[in-house]
Amino acid sequence: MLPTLAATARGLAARPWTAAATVSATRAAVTCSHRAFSTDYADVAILGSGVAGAALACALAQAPELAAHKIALIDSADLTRRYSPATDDHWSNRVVSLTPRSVQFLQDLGVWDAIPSTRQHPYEHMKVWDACSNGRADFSAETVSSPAIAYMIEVPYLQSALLEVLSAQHADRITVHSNATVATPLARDDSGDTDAYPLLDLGSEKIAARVLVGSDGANSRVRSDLVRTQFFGRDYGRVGLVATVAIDPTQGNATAWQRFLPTGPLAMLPLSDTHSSLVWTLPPAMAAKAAALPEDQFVALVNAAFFYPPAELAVFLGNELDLDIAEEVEWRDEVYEHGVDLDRVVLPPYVEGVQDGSRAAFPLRLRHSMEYTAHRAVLVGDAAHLIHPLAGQGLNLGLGDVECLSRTFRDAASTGQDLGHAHVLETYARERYPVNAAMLTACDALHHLFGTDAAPVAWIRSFGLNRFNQLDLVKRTVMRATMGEVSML
Amino acid sequence: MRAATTASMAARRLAAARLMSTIPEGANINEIRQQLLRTALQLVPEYSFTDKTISEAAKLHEYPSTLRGLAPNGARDVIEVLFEDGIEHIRQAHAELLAVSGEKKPGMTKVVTHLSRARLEYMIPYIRQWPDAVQLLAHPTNLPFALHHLHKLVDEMWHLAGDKSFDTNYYSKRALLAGVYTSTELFMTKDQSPGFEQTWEFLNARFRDTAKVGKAASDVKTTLEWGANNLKGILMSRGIRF
Repeated sequence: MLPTLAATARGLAARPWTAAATVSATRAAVTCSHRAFSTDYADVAILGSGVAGAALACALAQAPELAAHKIALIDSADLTRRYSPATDDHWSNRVVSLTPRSVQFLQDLGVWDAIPSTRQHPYEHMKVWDACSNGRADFSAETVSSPAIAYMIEVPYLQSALLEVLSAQHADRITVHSNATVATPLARDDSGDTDAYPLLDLGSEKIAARVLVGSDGANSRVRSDLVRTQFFGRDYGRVGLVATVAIDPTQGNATAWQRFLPTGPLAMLPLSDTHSSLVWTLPPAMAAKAAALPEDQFVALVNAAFFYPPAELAVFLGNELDLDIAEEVEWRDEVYEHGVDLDRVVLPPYVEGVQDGSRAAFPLRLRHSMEYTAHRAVLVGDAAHLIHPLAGQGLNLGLGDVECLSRTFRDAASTGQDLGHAHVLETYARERYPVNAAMLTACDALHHLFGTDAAPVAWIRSFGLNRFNQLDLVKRTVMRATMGEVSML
Repeated sequence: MRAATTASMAARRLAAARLMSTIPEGANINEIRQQLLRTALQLVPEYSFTDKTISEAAKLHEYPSTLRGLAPNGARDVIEVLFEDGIEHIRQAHAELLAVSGEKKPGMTKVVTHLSRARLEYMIPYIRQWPDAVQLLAHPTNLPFALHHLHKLVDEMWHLAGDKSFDTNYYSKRALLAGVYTSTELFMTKDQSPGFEQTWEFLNARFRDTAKVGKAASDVKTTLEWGANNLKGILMSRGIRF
């Protein structure tokens, strides 16, 4: 305050006392007062440069309505590093299934074409079946006249592509703060000069933002410090075990496979003609055991897991016996071969090997933030919601959030509004909250429905699943909803 | 023809003699209605839960069969009497249980299991015809009625057991008991074992399931809370705060 008064006093003393002089003196004082602080101002600050944050930065950077807005992207990681796979046959174990709608969005950002086609793999078919009954459902992209159901892509590759587009095409529009650690807890500017702008203290500089976008993931500081709302939901008591596996290349690999076991679903998603990604929902103890197995035993276990009755898998993964799983599977297979018509039964491609170091587990939980917005702060992506991976929706929901927020900002800017105003942010929340709630609830319900081996439930869901499989119209509608083409509501 | 008429009249006189009570002179319309329905309930083993039961009940009281108009919802009114009597029955059973236990008050689980069994025993005379009633109750127009009385029943049982919960536990406890009771009742309709011993085993097994899975109660609770929280979030996103 003092510099302001002093400057005003100097201005008044230097000039003759007129109304115009006072106005210009005050204006000079105001300009002075800005320079007196070591704070940088941004119209939009994006905290967290994961896929959601970087995609938002790209979307805002190419918006003509926001040409005069200052946009900052802040992350504690080194944003100049790019991911490149060790060999052509090496795949990150962090992969994601992008719906056609997400792909369309990424195409509009000019990012999709920056990813080589060998690292994007579309799949046209999906087969889902129940281990405890004979329920099954088959999905095909041509039912909804789409070239693919979804596209498999490595998350690090997608991140790198987004950052590459940012640095190559939008360097003049976005200020990227790399290797920047923000002092916590986050706070708002309380000097009184701003309308309590969120303040990011990067050590060497401070950034006060008219709107702060929290794209900082599941442990979001924006949510915990600024939005300060419930992040409600449940823990599944399960972990997701991921692995990259080499498969038998003779069968072709354009199908996604998911078998529902009572402990949780096991999914195989195609990455290329020779490799697939595995996501297996397991109790933590079983997952630890599976992750520690030698390669040949793990491979035998995975092949068995797509075919054997759940009780046998429970024995393999249990603690009571120390089995040589490869041996057990070998003699069991000899028995099964006699009873099973291998030409008629439909099974995923045979797993032949697992990529070194690709086995990892992460805890599974369901979370939804009670509010997406607070004063000049808004949440997108994992900061707002966490979901079970069984339907591959998490990152797609995040991209949906980003698409909606960028559209909201553009509409607001085109009518000259303050982007951080509550009315603008509420427009975004009003659109996204019910959509996300519906998808989160649906995936949660699916997990619970298939999470039991109780006979009546298994019978009902088998009946339901088979019936669903026969009803083309219903199947088409559900497919289009999960592919993002229609809202689930 | 005359012989047949005499025989059926004799049968009716015999049935009338077996009536628990008759409609007194000068009774008002409500008392007549109540008594008519109670008689109909007694005739259920013979005529099942149909409109004919009420007509026959009217005939037994030597009224014209058109008096079944006093029950505009037909068999549903008979079922309503059954439900109301059922509540009375479990209240009596609770009083008896307290009298027997004396000083040591029985725990909530014991009361709930005892009352569930008492209510099912009350169903024994009507259990073979109960599937007809279930079919009637499953009709969409009758669903609110059915759910209302099911709620009344489980609410009464928990209340008599001394349940004082005031959070989502209130709903999850009632939901679980409704599930246990309804599934056992349906099982009972097909049970041919002597003294319905298989039904009692089934009931105990269902209670064991829910007890073992105190987790089931907390699962119901978390699901209810998830739904409620999401609803609150949707409203808040539209600016409706509370």
